[in-house]
This record gives sequence, structure tokens and C-alpha cells, in this order.
Amino acid sequence: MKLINIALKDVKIVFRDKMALLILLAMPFILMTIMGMALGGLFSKGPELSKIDVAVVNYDDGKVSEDFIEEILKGDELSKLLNVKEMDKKRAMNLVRIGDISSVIIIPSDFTSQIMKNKSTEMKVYGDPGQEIRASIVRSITNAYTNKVSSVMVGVRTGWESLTKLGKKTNLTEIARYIPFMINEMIEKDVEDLVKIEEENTSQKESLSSMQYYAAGMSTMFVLFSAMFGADSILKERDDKTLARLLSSPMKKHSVLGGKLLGIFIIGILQFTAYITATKLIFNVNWGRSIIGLVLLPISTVLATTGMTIFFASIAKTRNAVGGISQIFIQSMSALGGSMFPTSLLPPWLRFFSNFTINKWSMDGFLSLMSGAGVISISKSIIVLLAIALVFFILGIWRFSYE
Amino acid sequence: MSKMRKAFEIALLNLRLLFKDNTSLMMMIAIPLFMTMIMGLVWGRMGEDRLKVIIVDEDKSNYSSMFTDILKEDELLSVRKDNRKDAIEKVRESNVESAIIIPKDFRDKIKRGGGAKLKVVKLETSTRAFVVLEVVKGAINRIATNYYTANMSIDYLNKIGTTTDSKEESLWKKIFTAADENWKPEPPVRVIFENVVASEVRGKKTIAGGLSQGSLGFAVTFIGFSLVGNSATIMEDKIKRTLFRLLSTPTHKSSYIIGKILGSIFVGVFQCTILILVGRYLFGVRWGRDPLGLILLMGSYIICGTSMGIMLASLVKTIDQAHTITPVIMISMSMLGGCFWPIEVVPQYMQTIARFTPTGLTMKGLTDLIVRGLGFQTIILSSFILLGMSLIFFTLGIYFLRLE
Repeated sequence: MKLINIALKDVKIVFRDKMALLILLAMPFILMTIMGMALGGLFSKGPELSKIDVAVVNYDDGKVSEDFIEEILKGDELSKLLNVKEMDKKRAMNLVRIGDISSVIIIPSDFTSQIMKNKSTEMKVYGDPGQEIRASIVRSITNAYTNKVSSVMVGVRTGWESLTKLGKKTNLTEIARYIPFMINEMIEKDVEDLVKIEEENTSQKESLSSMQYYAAGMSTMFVLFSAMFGADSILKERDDKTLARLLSSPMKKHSVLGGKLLGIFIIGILQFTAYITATKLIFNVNWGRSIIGLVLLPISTVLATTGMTIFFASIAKTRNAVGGISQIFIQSMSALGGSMFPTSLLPPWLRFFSNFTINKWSMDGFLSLMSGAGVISISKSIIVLLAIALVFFILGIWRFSYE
Repeated sequence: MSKMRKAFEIALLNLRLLFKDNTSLMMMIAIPLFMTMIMGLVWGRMGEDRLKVIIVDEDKSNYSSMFTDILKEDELLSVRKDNRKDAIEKVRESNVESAIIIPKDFRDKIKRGGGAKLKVVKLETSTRAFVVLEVVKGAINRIATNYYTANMSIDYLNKIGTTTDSKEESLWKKIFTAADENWKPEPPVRVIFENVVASEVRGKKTIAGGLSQGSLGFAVTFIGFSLVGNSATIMEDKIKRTLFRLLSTPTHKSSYIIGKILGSIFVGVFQCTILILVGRYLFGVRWGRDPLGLILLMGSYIICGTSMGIMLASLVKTIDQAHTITPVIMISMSMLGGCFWPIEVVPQYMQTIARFTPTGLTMKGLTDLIVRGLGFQTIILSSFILLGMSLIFFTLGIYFLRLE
């Protein structure tokens, strides 16, 4: 009973402390919103990249370059993606240099005439290193176009050479009449008809929205933060000598500590409840269908963070040190465990360390639930989290000093 | 004069206290460096030389091996072969960028004139798989061109009656090979890509890769953390009554505030210097060629962060509140400002918002200075705005700050 009183007292204190409430409740929403909006592009269901500004410097007054600019770059398909402006080289280079536009495409003066003569030529693309991704999209588009032009040229060159060489009674005028037909055919032919390239997305989990991802990521991260507050409150009791007073009362040592930890556990559960309910209501985040999973996973995660609390309290000598140590643990766990960005972005050797974070296992579980899995499929996550909790509890209680 | 001397002493005291506090030092130096490393590894892969690709050749025909050879020649890729199951598993674990699957009927379908398929499997979150796709499309385009050329030439030869059925097959192959030769060493029309860096143009290699992005962003974030967190030390002085004692001596209130401001600036400068030097010499992070510009920009940022700390000190009531609100402010500002990821991946309106945050302004300035290699004059505006913001924060802060 006393144990529960201590626990409830701690919960009450948190509710009275507006700042603690702010960091535990409001902050995750701010971060979820920012991350969801900012990084939505990395996920399949997120918003698209904004339009790419690109300049074209055209020294060529021929038909080929005109078609490229008017039909391809400014054409229906790409006009949603590109914002094309024609200008002189000096201005264009200046704009790309200061990063106002992503890239400049430069078409040489003999572009059309070289192509007409079936001779080699090249376009240049200058990109802003400050906008690597956009510049490479422009490069890709230009590349796709020159590929097509090259096709026609290779076709004509090879056709002419082969036919004049291989035909028995070579009739140059007749072959010359066949060439325009070949050009037309090559332009008309769609490579896709011969070989279709299919893209297939695979992911650790079924396609989730960025909002779902960060709802899981931030929730886990902020439940970790409650371990910092918990450890701080334990040490505060020790510093303020309230712990000593409690211990001098007829209470057992362990029920005092147990009460504190129970309080932290309750706060963690309340946090998860608040995050899940609020993200569901405000951002319409789908947390899956498995109610049992949604109960067991938060419980095991919070057990792990409660274990971490006593661990922090046991290794930190002063309240100041708690802040430092827990920040180090929480930030690195969150970065390595996938709360901040998908762990698939990490190099393999670093991803190995993800396995030692609470975030990884908790998020694995949540993301599975979100993609519709049942409680059985997250049993591994739950078991690992409980194991982490056990290790932290043993280390923490062994090292914790009441004085 | 003595006022200034006292302020200076208070400032130095701040710095000395910091050196005694191992945890704070760790927070200021070790974490940023650790995060720099991780983030650099995450975003740094963007600049890696070759993308790893696995080809799953289930067709094992001359067409599939031709395709494989074209990919192997490409300087953007590093290609190896594997079976379907392992390949997909490796993509899923993101050990490779993509797996390209050539199904069994690849050759047969091409021979029959169409309907062949090629599958490119990539991770949903991959930011670089489009490069692989580009190379694959190029290779298929090359094969298709050779194929169509050979077909049309044979059609013509048949029409004028030069070929016989027995010779047709070998002739077709001859023309196909001849066409393929015309793609070497370079296709007739090609694109040359270069990055532009101020007044000079460099080759393909990126100037400041991911490690720089990560390093710059984290330096900005963590310097901000210590500066804004400085508000906590004012609270600490209040709570421990040292401030009370200090003010009962003939020390003027303004000396105390100036001392705190100077102290915070000292701490910022110290941290900034360490992060730049360690980043530069340990991780090889480029910090640009314009030290004067860097000093002006980081200086303005340090002043701006300090002013935010003072303003915060005037708003919070306890040291706990100061500790709590610092990460709220700094993490959201860093995210908005583009410290954690390249700003170009976020939507336009988010980029606009970034321009109104101290972190965003500083990141823009650093990108101009270091990544784009622009000179001193380009960051004057950013620095000016940062200092303008500082003025507002200082005024508000000092006006509302209650020392008693």
C-alpha cells in the first residue's frame, strides 16, 4: 500500500510540474510534426519534393535542342517537376554558384548540326553541390534524353555501314531512302516494349507513412526521457534527505525504491497512452489492429525504461551527472535505434549496435503492429525488451546506493 | 573600468566552472563528435564512390550476360552476382543498394520481339536507388537499340533479297555487334556532369560530402544547446543565492549580466573552436577556405544563441524549467533549420521557414561558405540578420530579467 502511495505521489508531482508535462507530452508532438513534414519525401506515402529550378543555356539554334527544351524539359510530364528558365551562361552560372538554382544545362552551338551529321557531341550539366539530390535528378533527365538521341544515331550509323557493306548489289540511293524510315522507326520504338523495367520496393515493414514512423519513433524516444526524469527524482530525494527520512520510517528499503520505480512505470504507461491516443485522433495515425499487442508492447518498453531509470540513478553520483549521462544514453539510443531516421540508412557495422537499444526493439514491434501484424509476430521484440529490462534492473539494484 | 573588470572575472569564472564539470564538458564535446560520426555515416553514403548492386541472373543467356557486362563497365556501380533470395535479403538489410533480377524468359521474350521484364528491387527508403535505375535504363536502351537496328537492317536486306535464311542468323549477330561497337567508348551524345564551386569548377567528386553536412549541423545544434542552456546557470546562481551574495557586494547588476553574456560567449567560442578543429583534423571535415567568413558567421551565431539564453532566463522560473525547455527549443530549431538532414530534402515551405531560424541562417551561411565555396560577402547578410535577432532577444531578455 505504501509502495503505491509513493508511486502515486510521484505521478502527481509530474502532473503539477508544467514544464515536465511540456517536455513529456507537447515536445513529441512538435517533433513528430516537424519530422513528418520534413522527411515525408523519404517515405512512399509522403509529400513530393518541391519543384526543381533549372536553367538552360542554349547556344544552338537548331531543331534538336529546341525540341529538347520545349517538348521534354517544358513538356507535360516534366513541367510538374521542373521549373525551366532560359538565360545566358554568365547569369546561369552565377545563380547556380550561389545556390539559387539547382543546375544549369548547357547546349553547345553545334549540337543540332553534329547530330544531323551523326557526329558525337555532348551537353554539360553544372550542379550546385549544396543541392546534390536535385542536381542529380536534372542529370538523370538529361541523360535519359541523350540516351534516346544516341539510340537513333547508333541505329542510323550502324544501318548505313552494314547495309552498304553487306548488300550484294549496293544501291546507295536506295539505302539512303531507307535511312529516314529507320530514323522514324527508332524514334517511334519504345524500349519499354522490348524490355520493361519494373521497380519493386521492399522494406523492413510494409509501406508506412512518415507520420506513422515518427509517431512510433518519437513516442519511444520520449518514454526514454522519462527515465531521465525518474533518475533525477530518485537522486533528488536522496539529496533533499527525504529518502533518508522515508527510510527511517518503518518502511523497507526496497519498497521505497519499488514505489519510486512503480511511479516511473505508471508515468511511462500514461505517456504511451497519451501518445497513441493523441496521434490517432490528431494525425489519424494507424497503430494497427492488435489491441493485445498495443498493450503488451508499451508495457515491455516501459519496463525496459524503468530498468534504465534505476541504472541511471545507480551510475550517476550527482543530479547534474544524471542529466549528462542520460542524455548521452538517450540520444545515442535514439539515433542508433531508429527513432530519428530509419536504421537502414546506417552502415551495416553500425547497425549491429542498434540491437542493443530499446528504441530498435520497441519500434520494430510498433511498426509491425502498424503494418497489420498480430501479437505473435512481435513476441521477439517483447522478449528482447524484457531481457533488456532485466539486465538494467540487476545492474541498477546491485549498484544503487541509498545514502 | 572596474565594472568591466568584474564582468570579465564573472565571465572567466563561468569558463573555469565548466572545466571542473566533466559531465558538461562531455555533453559539449563528446556527444557532438559522436553524433557527427553517426550522421556523417548516414548521409555520407550519398557521396560514396560506387553503389553496390547485385545481379540475379536466372536467364543465363547471352542477353543477360551482355546486360551484366554493360553494368560492370559503369563507373557508378560495383556489381556482383547472387541468387534471388540472398539478393533480396541483402537489399532488405541495406547491405546493397538494389538487386536487379533478370527472369528466366528474358532472352526468349526479346527474341520473340517484346514483353521481356527486368526487376529492380530497392529499399523503400533508399535515396540513391534512382542512380541504379538510370544506369539500368541506359543499358537496356543500348541493347534495345542494337536489337532494333539489326532487325531493321535484316528487314531491308531481305527486301532487296540479299540474304538467305541460312545466313540471316549470323548476319543479324554481326549487325548487332557492329551497333554495340558504336556505343564505345562513349555514346554519340552524352552528358557531362560537374559540380560548381565558386570561380572554379571541380570534377565529379563532391566537395563537402555527408560528413561535412553532419558535422556542420551538429556543431550548430550543440553550440546552440550550450548557449541556450546558459540560462540555467543564471537560475543556478539565483537558487544557490550566490547571485544574492554577489549583488550585496559592490558589484553592479550590469556587471553581472555583462559577465554572464561574456561567459556564455567564451564557452561558445571554446566549444566551436574544438568542434571545428577536431572535425577538421580527426574526421577530415572541410570547414572551407575562408576563416574570416567562418569567424564572422559563427561569432554572430554564438552571440545570437547567447541572447536567446538570456531571454530564456528571463522567462523561466526554476532551474528545472530551464533544463527542460532548452532541448525543446534547440531540437525543434535544429530540425527546422536543417541541421539534421540536407535542407533540400524538405518541402519548399519548410525551406522558407528555415530561413527565419537562427540555425537555418547559420546553416545557409555555412553551406555557402564551405560547400559552395563562396566568399566572405555572401554571409554578411546572414550574420547581419543573426545580430539583429540578437539585439531583439537581448533587449527583451534584459528588460524582463529579474535578478532578485
